[in-house]
Amino acid sequence: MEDVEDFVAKSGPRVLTIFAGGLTVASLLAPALIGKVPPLSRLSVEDRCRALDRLEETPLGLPLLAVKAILCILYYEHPGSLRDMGVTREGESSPSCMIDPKKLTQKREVAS
Amino acid sequence: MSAGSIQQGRDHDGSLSLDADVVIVGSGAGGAVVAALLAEAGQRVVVLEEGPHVSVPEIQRMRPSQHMRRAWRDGGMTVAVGVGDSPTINVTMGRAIGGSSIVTGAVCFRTPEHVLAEWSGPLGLGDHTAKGLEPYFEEVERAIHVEEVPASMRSIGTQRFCEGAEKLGLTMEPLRRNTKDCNGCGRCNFGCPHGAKMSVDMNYLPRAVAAGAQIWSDCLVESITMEGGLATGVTGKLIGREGFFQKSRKLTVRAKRVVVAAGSYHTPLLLMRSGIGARSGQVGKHMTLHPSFRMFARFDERIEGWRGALQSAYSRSLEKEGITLVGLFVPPGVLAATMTGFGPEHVRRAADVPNMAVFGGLVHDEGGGTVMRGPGREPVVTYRMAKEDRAKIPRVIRIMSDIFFAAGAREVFPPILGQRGVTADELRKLDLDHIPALKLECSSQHPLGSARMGVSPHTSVVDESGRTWDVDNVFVADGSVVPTSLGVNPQLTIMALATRIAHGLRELRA
Repeated sequence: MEDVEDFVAKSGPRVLTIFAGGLTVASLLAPALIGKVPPLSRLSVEDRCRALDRLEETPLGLPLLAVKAILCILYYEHPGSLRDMGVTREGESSPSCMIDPKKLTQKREVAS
Repeated sequence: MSAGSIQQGRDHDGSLSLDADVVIVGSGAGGAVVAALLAEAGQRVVVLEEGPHVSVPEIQRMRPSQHMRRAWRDGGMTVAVGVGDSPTINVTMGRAIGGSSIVTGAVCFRTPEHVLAEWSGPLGLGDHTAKGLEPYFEEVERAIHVEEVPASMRSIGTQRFCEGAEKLGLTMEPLRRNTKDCNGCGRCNFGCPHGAKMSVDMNYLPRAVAAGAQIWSDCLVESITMEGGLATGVTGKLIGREGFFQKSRKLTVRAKRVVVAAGSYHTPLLLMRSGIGARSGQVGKHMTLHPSFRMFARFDERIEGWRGALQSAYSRSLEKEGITLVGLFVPPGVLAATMTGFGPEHVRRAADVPNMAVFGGLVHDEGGGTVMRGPGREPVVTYRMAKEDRAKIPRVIRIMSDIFFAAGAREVFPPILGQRGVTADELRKLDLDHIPALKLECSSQHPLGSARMGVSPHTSVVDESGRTWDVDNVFVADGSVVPTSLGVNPQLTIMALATRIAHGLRELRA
């Protein structure tokens, strides 16, 4: 949650609006789509998934996509989540890809 | 570029007041070029960038989302709101030293000849021919090291797409990119951790600094100051370490000329706030976006699309239909975000990510975007897609699906909200011609033309030299001057036009 809060705070006021709007739509509207009383947090995990599934299929799924995108980007960039997903990515979690600073200077000189 | 060569507004105590021959608002592909060329010509140059300076060593320590929150505008959540039967479009832009050049996939195209024929013909921009712009393209290509991506750098996903395209009779060609020693880690959009992408922070901005230019990060320009019908400089505020919500410190730069290079969203906004461009009524109009659609495809084999150059091949076989197919990859987390479902079901689907290939299609669009002043400091942007462009969307989705199926994909995932993966038979049953606009996933990385160049103050904002029709000493040098949609990635066109404008500015001084 700290990472989510940090992302929203540092990305600017618009993201805060989009994120809060998306959560509000999900919280209040999604339960009604499966005949349940909002908010979403009062439902069981199974019902929450079912309600969000339904919301995603409607044109109102767009604000939900924004929230889902932020959460997925944050969740799946951690090495453990990537490994669970089957992603083996050299250099992602270790500093082995770090370039020699001298090489970087040489590159800049050539480019200039 | 070492941290010492950029002055960070966030670390500056108190207000900031500077004098210059030229103040340039924005340090991206346009502003950086003008800064280097004018500084090297002996002019006193100040560059003001709203975003922070993010160095290569910092990028090496960052996760993708950390780069997004630091160096992308709105953390990558900027939109152009669809009007009528148009999708709402997610527009990604850089907001850092180097501008969008640090978040691009480094793809370089010269302006297509058929586009230049329109500019130099019906639009009357006589010098903007392939021959007329050749020296500017050559100059930029040398400076940023444009090279062809070798076939060996193609990811398996791109290889499969190319195989499928060729089976259907479409020609795939290698892309050119501004890279040097790229090892294909696929992270270009999050700042190159190897210093291999030759974004302007690696070449033009160091040149500008070496020639004496002052480059300041964290400087938000709010208006151009005017006196007697001429610009006298700019004012704004410094953004501190606390970001957007902090007490501001004043920024003032007095200059003989102002060059606005803040990108197609913010250049028109700054002109409007400063009362420039009202005469033509054209500021903020005619913005093109290249509405783009991604297609994911699931194969039986492991694709591991993150291995290989982020972008390596394209097809212009559909150019006459106004469609360009361009290879790309997106990080596993973004790919997972587009998988339908929630909870355990979503986790199960996300496990398919290593077997997914990605490709993109963009529409060579008419100018349906409008930039308006909003209630806060950001603009409100709407986009009304032309009917002809809207009709191209089903074609883009179908052709990319057909190509992937021809390459052996089991399922494709069309860019439709809530749409699960579909087989070839299931795709044929989808009514692609009648997808509601609100259900289309659409993105753009190429906002252009919101302060377009032209030969009349009644139909354009700047003349061929980049000078605004309203104020003699205010110039625009970024993607917003591009007169029409290009149908290809615009970085090289923006830089070539900025080079031409800078050459003109050097002559003015003489």
